[in-house]
This record gives sequence, structure tokens and C-alpha cells, in this order.
Amino acid sequence: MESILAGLLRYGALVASGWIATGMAMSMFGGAPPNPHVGLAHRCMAIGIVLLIALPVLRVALTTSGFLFERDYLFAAISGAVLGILALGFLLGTINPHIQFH
Amino acid sequence: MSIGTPEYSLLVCLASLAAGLLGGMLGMAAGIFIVPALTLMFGLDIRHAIGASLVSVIGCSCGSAASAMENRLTNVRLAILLEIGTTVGALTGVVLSGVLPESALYLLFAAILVVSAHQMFRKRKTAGSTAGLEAPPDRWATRLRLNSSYPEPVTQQEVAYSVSRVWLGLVLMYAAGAVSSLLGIGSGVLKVPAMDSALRLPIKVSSATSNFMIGVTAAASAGIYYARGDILADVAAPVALGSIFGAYLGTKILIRTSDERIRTLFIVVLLALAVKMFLAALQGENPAGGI
Repeated sequence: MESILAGLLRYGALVASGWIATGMAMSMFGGAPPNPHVGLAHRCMAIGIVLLIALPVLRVALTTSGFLFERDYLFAAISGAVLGILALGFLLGTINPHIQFH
Repeated sequence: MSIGTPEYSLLVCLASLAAGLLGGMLGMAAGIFIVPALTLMFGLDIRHAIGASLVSVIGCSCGSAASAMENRLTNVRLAILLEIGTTVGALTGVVLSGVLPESALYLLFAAILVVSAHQMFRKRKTAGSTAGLEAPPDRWATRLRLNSSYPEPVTQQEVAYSVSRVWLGLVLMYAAGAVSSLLGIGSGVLKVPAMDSALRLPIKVSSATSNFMIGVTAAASAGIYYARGDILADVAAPVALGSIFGAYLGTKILIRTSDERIRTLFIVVLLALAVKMFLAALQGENPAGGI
């Protein structure tokens, strides 16, 4: 299980950095301002950033299924609880009335 | 210089590379250097600095957690258990951040840094004698099968260790998680000393396990920051790219240096940051200068 987790983190971070690097290269070398690729560049960077935020969540999900597979139900419940806390956080973030959008 | 220009992105990227390198070496995330760099050097709004820093904290921990796991230094079971503490703490921190004034946060942070440095220093003086010392056995650590072993990177010898005071560790991780989301740092600076002294782990294991937990802790608050629009792509992108690469190089150095040298470096960095944070607290609400 540990090598799968290491792989997910390493290649996930690599893919996310790839998207970010592509976006940055586009905004840097896309041409003189007004840069026609700026919208696309931002989209690429956003994909990379969202992917990075999602990686740890994916990692916890994978760990949970790993423990289930090993029939270690106590630790499956513990990592499931971490997953639940993360979901609660995202839910709070989207419904919190104090959030200002810029 | 304004956000989004190529020079700005390049400079932010280079600063983040340096921060990531130092962070990876010390088993901390780069956020602790990135927030001061973005606010003091680049004159960025602190909320945007924290948002960008959280993304970089996740990126750094991915890279270094992967290498540490391949070297079998990470205690995955312990990390999962302690993540309950850190994620609940992160949510608490997000709620608290609306209540506390900025200068109080800086002051709190300076105090925590001094305490960590002191703990590290005390441990260092007795480091020679703790090698043969048996840690008190913990009922919960045995029941949850948290005790493990790791291969010493230099000698390749298998070193067994046991985990003590699990409950104290969970409480400390809750506090570390709250600080992490309040200040946009990985708070490995708190997690490593806490695991060192409460759980009595070997420092390489606590560094690796802390790196493994940091990503999840930061993701818990980064999601909220993203929904708020406090994560600006033009800042977060170069910060993430630079720090991920830096952290990757940093872990290579962590594996090769001796425990004693890491500790000394750690103490110096902790004290320097404490002074910096204290000064920032005195300067008031907005110490931002800009270049």
C-alpha cells in the first residue's frame, strides 16, 4: 500500500506541477499584452491548483480502501472519519455566509 | 511590479524555491517562510499570501512525503490517527481566524516558536543518553499497533521504536492543525517537536510522518480559501511550482545529514523566526512593505 500512496503523491504532484508550468509558460511567453492566451493560461493554473488541493483527499480515500482491503476495520473507520472531516470542511467553506467573493 | 507580470512570477518562483529547499531539509513545509516573503518582500495581502502558501504546503508535502515513504521512514498508521486531530484543528482555526486580530496571531506564533526551540534544545542536550532509554509503554499504541521500525539511512540497520503518550499527541496535533490554518503554514515546526517529545519518535520518523500529515491538514483549510477566492492563480501557481521543486531537493539533504546537525539548524531557524514574528506583531496590523 505504501508504494501506491507514494506513487499517487509523487505523480499527482508531478501532473499538477505540469498543468501549473504550462499555464505559467503560456502567460509568460504567450505574447505581448494584451495576451490572447491569458484566459486559457489561468484555466491551466487553476486545474493544477485544484488538483493539488484534491491530492491529499484522494490519498485519504485510497488509505481508507487500503485498510478495508486488509480487513483492518478500525483503521478504515479512523481514516474514513478523516475523510468525513475534510468533506465537512469543504461543505462549511461553500455554505458559510461570511465568505466574501472577490 | 504588479501581480501577473513575468518578472513578478519569476521572482516569486525563485523565492519559493529557496523556501521549499529549507523547508524540505528541516522536515517543515515551506509556508513558514513563504507567508513572510510574500507579505514583507512582495507586499501582498496577508489573506492571499496564506492562500498561496497553503497550496504550496500541500505541494511540498506531496513531494517529500513520497520520498520519505519510499525510504520507509513514515509511520502511516500513526499519521492517519493523528490526522483526526490536525483536520478538526484546521476547521477550528478557520473559524477562529475570523475572530482574532492579526497582531495577536503573530505574537502567539512567536511564543510557540520559542517554546519549540526550547524543547528542541533540551532534547539535544540529552540526545546522547536517550539512545538506550526505553520509552514508557503506552497501552493505546500497542492496541492500535502503532509501534514500528525504520531503516537507518546511513547504516541500513533496522531501528525499532515504540510510540508513547498517544492521547497527548492527538491533543498537540489538534493545536498544530489550528495554527496551521490560522497562519497558512504546514506547522511541521510544531508537529515535529511535538512528536519528538510527546510520542518519543526518532527525529527522522517524526519529520517524515509530519510531512505526510501536513498535506491533509492544509487541504482541509485550502478548500475553504479557494471557495472564498483567496487563492489567486497568479500568485499560487509560481509559489507552488518553486516550492515543490525546492522541497524535493531538500528531502535529499535531510536523508544524508546526521540527526545532530538537523537539530542545531532547527534551533537556529526557530529562534530567528520567533524574532521576526515578534517584530511583525509590534509593527501592527499591516507590516507590508513591497519592492
